[in-house]
Amino acid sequence: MQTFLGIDYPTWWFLVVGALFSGYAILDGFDLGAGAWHLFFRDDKSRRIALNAVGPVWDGNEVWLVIGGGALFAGFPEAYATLFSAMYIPFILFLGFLIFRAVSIEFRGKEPMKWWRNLWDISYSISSAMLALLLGVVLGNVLIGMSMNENFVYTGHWLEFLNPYALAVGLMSLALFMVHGAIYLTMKTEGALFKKVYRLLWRSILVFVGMFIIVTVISIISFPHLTDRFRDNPVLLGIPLLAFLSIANVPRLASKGKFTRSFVFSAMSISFLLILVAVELYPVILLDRGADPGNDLDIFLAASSDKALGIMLTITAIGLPLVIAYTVFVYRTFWGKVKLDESSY
Amino acid sequence: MNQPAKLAAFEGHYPEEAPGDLYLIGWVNKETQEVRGIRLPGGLSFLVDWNFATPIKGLNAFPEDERPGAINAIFQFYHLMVAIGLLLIAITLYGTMQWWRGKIFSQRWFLWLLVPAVLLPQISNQVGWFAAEMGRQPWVVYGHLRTADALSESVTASNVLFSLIFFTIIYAILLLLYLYLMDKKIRVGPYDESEIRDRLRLKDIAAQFDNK
Repeated sequence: MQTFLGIDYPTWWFLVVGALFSGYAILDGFDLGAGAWHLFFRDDKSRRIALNAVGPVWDGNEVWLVIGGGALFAGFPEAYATLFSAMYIPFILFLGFLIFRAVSIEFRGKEPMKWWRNLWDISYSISSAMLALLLGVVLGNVLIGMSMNENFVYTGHWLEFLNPYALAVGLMSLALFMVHGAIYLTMKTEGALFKKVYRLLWRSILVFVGMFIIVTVISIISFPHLTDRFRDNPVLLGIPLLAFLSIANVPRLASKGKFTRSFVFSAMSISFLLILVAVELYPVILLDRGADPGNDLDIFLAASSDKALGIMLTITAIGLPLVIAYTVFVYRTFWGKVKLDESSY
Repeated sequence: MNQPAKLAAFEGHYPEEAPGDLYLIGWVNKETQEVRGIRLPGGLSFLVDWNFATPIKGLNAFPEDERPGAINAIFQFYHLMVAIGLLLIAITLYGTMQWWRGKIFSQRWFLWLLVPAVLLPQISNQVGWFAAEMGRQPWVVYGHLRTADALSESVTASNVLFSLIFFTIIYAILLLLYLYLMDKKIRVGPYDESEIRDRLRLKDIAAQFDNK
C-alpha cells in the first residue's frame, strides 16, 4: 500500500472526503439555517432581505455536496453503494427538497401576488429545514451503523432510517444549522430585522445545547462503541473539549456584537463535531450492527486502487487551493449588509 | 471505449462484416433483418473510416444476449434526434439569412414556425438519450457490467416505484409552472428594438462593473 508522509492513500482520501463534507456543512449549513428561519420573518421586505442574504452563494454552497458525494463514490465506491442503497428513501426525499428549495428561491419573485409569495416562502422554509434534518438523520444512521451481509449489502428494512437516535441527531443538526444561519443573518441585516434575528439566535442556541446533551447522553448509554475510543485514549477527549469551547464562544462573541468572529467559531463547532464523528468511526466507514455483526466496511476494503487514489489526491492538491481562492473571492465580493435592488430575488 | 453494437443498432446494420448504410429515414424489420427507407449506401462506413467500402461490424457479429433488443425503436429515436438537429440548422440558416436581408419580421409563417421550434431541442435531447441508453443494453457499463447485475439488492421494487412517481409528480408540477411563467413572459413581449440595442452594449455593462 502506497503512502505519502507516512500515511496511506485510503486514509488521505478519508481526510479529503471528511474535509469536503465539513466544507459542505459549514457553507450550506448557514443558508439551510437561514432558510429554516424564513417563516419567522413576517413582512415581504424582511423575507426578501433574508433570501438575498444567501442569494449569491446558496447554489455554490450546494455544489460542495456534489463534490463530497463524488469523492465518496470515486474513492470508496463500496461505501457509496451500500450507503446510497441503504438510505435510498431519505436520499430521494433529500433530492425532492433540494429541487423545491431551488425552485422556491427562483420563482418567489416572479409574481407579486401575496398567496404566490407565501406559497414559495413556505416551500422554501420547509425544504430548508427538512434538508438539515435529513442530513442529520443520515449521519445518525452512519454513527450507529446498519445491518449488512458479508458482501456489504444492506439487509435492514427501508424504514429503519427513522430511528429515535437518528431523529435526535437530525434535530440537533437542524438546531446547529439554525444557530449558524442566524449568526450569518446578523452579519447581513440591520434595524428591526437584525434585532429579531438576534433574539432568534439565542433561542436556537438553547435548543441546540439541549439537543446536544440529549444526543451525547443517548450515545454514551445506548451506543458504547461511539465512545470506547475516548475511554481507551483519553488524549482524544481534547476534540470534544475543543468542540465544546467553540460552541461556548458563539454566544459569548455574539453578545459582544462580534458576529463575524462568532460565525467563525460556529463554523469551527461544525468542523469539530464532524472530526469527532471521524475519530469515532475511523478506519470504519459503515458499521455493521446486524444480528451477526462483524461485516464492518472499513476504508481499506472500500477504497479504490492506490493508482486511482493517487491520481485523485494529486488533482485535489491542485484543485483545493483554487476552490479556496474563489470561495474567499466570492464572499469578499458579497460582504456586508444586504441592499435590495432590481437584480435581487 | 466505443460501443460497436450500439452503432450497428443506430442504423439497423445486421451483417457480420459489411459496409454500413446511412439512412435518412427508415424502418427496421427485425425478422428479415432488413431496413426499408431512404439511404446513402456505405454512408456509415464513410462516417467511421472516410471510406464507403470499409466493413462495419453488424449486430449479427454479437451473441444474441450481448446486443440490444429494441432495434427499430433505437433506430427511430436516433434518426429523430439527427433529423431534428438538421432541421434546426436549416431553420437557423434561413432565419439568419432573412434577418440579414432585413425581412425576418415580415414573414409571419416563419415566426410562427419558430414558436413550436422551442420544443425541438428538448425532444431531440430526450430521444437521443433514449437511443444512447437503449443502444447500450444489455450492458450498463459496455462489455463489463450487465444492467441486470447492476441492480441494488437492498432497494425494493416498491421503493423504486415510489421514487419514479415522486419525480414524475415533481416534474409535472415544474412543467406546468414553466409553461405558465413562460407564457406570461411571451405575452409581455420583447423590448422594442432600440431598447434591445441598448441592452446589448457589452461595453456599458462592463463599465457598470467598473463603477461598482
